[in-house]
Amino acid sequence: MTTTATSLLLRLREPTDKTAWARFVQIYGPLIYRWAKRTGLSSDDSADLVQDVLTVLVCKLPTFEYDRQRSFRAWLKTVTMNKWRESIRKKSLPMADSSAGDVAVLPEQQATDYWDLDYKKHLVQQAMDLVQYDFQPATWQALKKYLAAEATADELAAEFGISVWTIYSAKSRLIKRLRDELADLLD
Amino acid sequence: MAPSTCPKPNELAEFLCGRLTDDRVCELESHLSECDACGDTIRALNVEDTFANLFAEQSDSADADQDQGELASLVRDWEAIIEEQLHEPPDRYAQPKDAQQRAYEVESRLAPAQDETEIGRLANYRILRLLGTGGMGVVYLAEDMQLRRPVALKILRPSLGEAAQQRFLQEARAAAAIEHDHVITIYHVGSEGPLAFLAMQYLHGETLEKRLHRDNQLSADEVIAVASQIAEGLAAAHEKHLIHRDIKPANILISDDGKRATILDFGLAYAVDDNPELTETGMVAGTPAYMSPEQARGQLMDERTDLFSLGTLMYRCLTGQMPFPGKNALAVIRSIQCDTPMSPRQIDLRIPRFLSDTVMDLLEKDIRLRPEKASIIVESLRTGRRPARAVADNRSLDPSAANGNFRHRIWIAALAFFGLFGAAAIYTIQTDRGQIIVKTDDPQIQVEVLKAGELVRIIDPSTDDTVTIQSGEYQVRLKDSASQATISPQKLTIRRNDAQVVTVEQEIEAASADDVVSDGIDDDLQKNGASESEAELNRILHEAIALREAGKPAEAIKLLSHQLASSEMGEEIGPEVGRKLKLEYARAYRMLGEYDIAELYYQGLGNGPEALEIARFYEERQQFERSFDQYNRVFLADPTNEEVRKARDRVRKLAETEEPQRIFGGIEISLSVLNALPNAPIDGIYRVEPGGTLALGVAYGRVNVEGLTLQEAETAVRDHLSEYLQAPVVQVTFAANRRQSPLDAKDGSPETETFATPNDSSDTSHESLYDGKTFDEWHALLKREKHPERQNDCLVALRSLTNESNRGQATETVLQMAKRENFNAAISLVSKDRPESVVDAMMQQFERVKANEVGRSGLAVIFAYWTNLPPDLSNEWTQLLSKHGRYFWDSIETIGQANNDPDWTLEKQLILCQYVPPMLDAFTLTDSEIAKLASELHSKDDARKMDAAVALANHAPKLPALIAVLKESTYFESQRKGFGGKNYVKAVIAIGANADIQAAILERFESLPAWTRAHRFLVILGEVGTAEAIPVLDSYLETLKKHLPDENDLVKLARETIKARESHKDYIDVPSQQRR
Repeated sequence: MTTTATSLLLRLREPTDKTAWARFVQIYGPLIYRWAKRTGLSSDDSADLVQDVLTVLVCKLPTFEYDRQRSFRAWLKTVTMNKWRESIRKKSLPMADSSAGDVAVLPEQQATDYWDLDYKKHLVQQAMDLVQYDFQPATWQALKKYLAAEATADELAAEFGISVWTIYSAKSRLIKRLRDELADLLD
Repeated sequence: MAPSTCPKPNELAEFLCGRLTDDRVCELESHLSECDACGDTIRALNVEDTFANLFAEQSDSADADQDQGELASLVRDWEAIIEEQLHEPPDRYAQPKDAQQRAYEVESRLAPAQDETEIGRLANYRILRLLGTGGMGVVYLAEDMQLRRPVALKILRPSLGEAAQQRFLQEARAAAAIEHDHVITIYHVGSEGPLAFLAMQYLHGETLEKRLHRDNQLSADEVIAVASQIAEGLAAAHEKHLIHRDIKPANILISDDGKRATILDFGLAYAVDDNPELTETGMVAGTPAYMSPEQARGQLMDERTDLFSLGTLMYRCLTGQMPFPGKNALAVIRSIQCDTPMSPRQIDLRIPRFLSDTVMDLLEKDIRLRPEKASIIVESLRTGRRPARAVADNRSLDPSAANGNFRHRIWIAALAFFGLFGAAAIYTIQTDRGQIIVKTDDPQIQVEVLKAGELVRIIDPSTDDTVTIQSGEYQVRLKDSASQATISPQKLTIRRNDAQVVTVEQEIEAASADDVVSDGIDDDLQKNGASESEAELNRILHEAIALREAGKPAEAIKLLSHQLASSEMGEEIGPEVGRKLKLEYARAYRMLGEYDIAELYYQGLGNGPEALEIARFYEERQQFERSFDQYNRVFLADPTNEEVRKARDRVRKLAETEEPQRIFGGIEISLSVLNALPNAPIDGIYRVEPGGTLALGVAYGRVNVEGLTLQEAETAVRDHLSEYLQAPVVQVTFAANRRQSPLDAKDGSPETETFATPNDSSDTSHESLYDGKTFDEWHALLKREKHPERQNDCLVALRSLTNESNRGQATETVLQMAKRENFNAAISLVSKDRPESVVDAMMQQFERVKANEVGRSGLAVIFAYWTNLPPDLSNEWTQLLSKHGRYFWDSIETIGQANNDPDWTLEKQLILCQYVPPMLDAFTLTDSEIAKLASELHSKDDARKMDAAVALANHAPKLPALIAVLKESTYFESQRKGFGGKNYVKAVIAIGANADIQAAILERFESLPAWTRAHRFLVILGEVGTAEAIPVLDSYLETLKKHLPDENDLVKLARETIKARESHKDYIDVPSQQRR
């Protein structure tokens, strides 16, 4: 599996492939939006930011020669950070409505850190969605709770009627799988 | 089969982190399921790894999604926006609609049709079928009812006016005299009622334009056949002294068998050339692509103009590309005048040399060097020999018009504006304008231009002796009414593309003769004052020189500027002393290392005895092109000077190799770079810079798709380039970083460690975003950087690295950026801290360079103003700016014109509108000027343009042009909010109740997918809505009740406000601004 499914990106190059774009928006829209809000932008500004980024992508993607996901990822980050800076700059302008500039926005470095973290989480989420069918449903439920540290392995083993070893093994397998898939992205 | 030994704790940890091999995992799993001891170990282990963190926080981000519903609706919005962008028809303003309108314009005036086979009737023609429409008229297939033969009937658009009609008939009658196989035969010219028409031979076939559209290129043989026939036709017409003036593929008809070419529309371009409606877009028929240089300049044309166009046409057919490409009409015109294209043979080796040479001869920019007659071309194409070169006659010898010098000329024109040279050559093609040129010996003179008694412009010959101005009637007078000089003529009429010379003559003898009785004591004082101050100046100057020579340039500058600023002297400095002062400033600043400022002063010196010094200065500054000019000047004055010649050739080489090294974004652009620099050595080193434009070019694509190493990529791209350019390319080098400057690489040596995209793990740190450079390093880079985007990069970096210790430097940088016209960059620095020192420095700067830099510095000042000055300064500046506002505005216009770059002007003016709304008053824009700006604002995807439109609408609320823009604005369509949206609301409110806008809002409103986006409309409706909005609001309330019961406040408020206003509107005038 890849982070930005290659086929999806390739399909996006077909300028009118609506379903591909819809999927793209569903994947990346919320990612960028949540991140932007985390950096301190208002909901409105965050939504605008997403729109700006998407607009750039719509214009440029059809000509973007796709290779490894890292290229796309770095590109997306560059575009997003640029738009973000633009947005901050605009907010700092003493324009008609000065209250717009009052919101505390994270320093750029922190925003960048958040972006990387959010993006990784996003990747993990995507990867999880893909691998979950490798596991029995009960194991998967238990594993998710275990990973989210909601309960100990023993408690979960009891709750779902599986052995504690199943949980440990599942975690080991999941992480190994993720590591294989996302190796060059996370380490 | 439990293994005998338990794994070590660290192996267990590895296991939990998924770091073991598959085999080992299997072994451990079977062991662990049996081993309680290991279970305890695991429970005791506190395993942490990257993934653990990512999982742990996974649920956090889910929490943040309490607004899941909102997010979902946002996603739908985004999808809708994207869809809209995907489906935006690429040519929504394209021909069809226009064509229909034009046809309608004609058809509505025809006599009614007699049966179903015809569209209508005109004179003795039955109009049968529409063949085509053009800027000028509509062409129909018609039947001549007397002779029963089919004709092509061209009918002039009646809206072009009577004068055009007269010229059309006149030209058509003249063209009817041409009898030739390859010129379309005109049967009949006439008019009936409002319609002028001409009936032509009806030929089967398609235009060459359509043919090219299909095949893009013709074979050399075909081109020879077509071009010979065109040349024959031209020769026949030229014999009768008729010039076509619009030879282009659309005007050549190719017969169905492809063997016969016929020229259409002889002379007709000229007939409508003068019509403002046609020329409002700048060009007859919309394309200047086939124009000759003299035509583009609006100069006299003769038969050879047609030959140039024929050359362009042949070039296009042979190579499949235009010799003078450009994104818009102006770029094309610039290219026609400045660029020498690659020869067709350089593009395609299959093209015979003689043919390629013939085309290049036809494309000779100097009309006198072009082949003289069409018959020469016919002969040359028949025999396969290049035409004999024309020998220039001396009658109208204009050395600067020689091929290849246009680049310099335009550059000179730009400089002339800043007072470098006495004479400016300014090419304008703005067709509704003419020029006033002032001729005077006295640069102190200022001429006022009045229209209907109102002052519209001041011409200051010391900065620019030519102004371009709307056509109309003007009076001129001297600004200083007490002056002894006379001016003539005092009244003038400026016509389109016309230049009127105003001569100012100083009554020198009378003024300087001792025996003239002075009419007042003031005059005496003034004279004495002048000479005294001159002596004083000389003293100061010598003191300054001494200081500088003693190694104290800063003190020298201080002395000079203090003395100049503290007195009125500046205005009385004679040209001689003025030069000395400038030179001294230049040398002192240069010594200080303030090269940018030194440069300004050197520029002001122009062509004088210091040329060699200036040449070396520019060479040192790596401005090789400018350096070349100066060296060349010295060399021309003394051609025996071997040393200067060598220096000149050295910098020329550098100038030529510098530019093509930067090929941004890949191959497409590299071609245009090559076109722009015809003399660049084709075997030079080409540097492809993929990071700069996010690497969307072919080069980048190949690297990415094929996963090549950097070196392989370079080779691949090199081969690709060679193939594409049909020329050997020796080396291609990728720069390593985004928008890396060539200046970054030491001695031009390429950096090769990494490819464009930043490294994955290390790019998160603050430093790496700015490439680990320090403030000083960025500052140094910025000083040398010429590319505006990379300047911006530098500034962004500088901005975030600015602190107490380097603020002074940052301040100075702002000034310099403003001077270098990178205003956006300047803003980005100023707006961070707005230190008062910036303001002070700007003020000083403004004072210091008032005389010749006022336009540019004025902009800097405006931006400083915009960045929240302290109140006391603010007042002073407001006055200052109000006084000069109009002049700044015009300066922008003039600079743009001098550079032949109206886009630049528009951009700067829009920045002003967008960022400096309080200044709009000071610009004293007329409604028609605003309307003109508004006409430039119809762009759906440019937020800046919309911001400008909104600012203008707030300024001039009732202008229909602006209302139209706002109605169609991006904000409206995409429901943009935030920065722009608020201004949009304000603008709409300023416009007040407008039925169109309300209707548009309501329509949009009803289709709104989510409540989140409605606020802005609700505010607008509350402010300006009428009763019609109430039912819409009511139904919206119903919707909200179901989904978002708590979100109805604004709706109710809007509804109540409208109702209140409606019920009181007969007797209460509620001022809309106070209600909120």
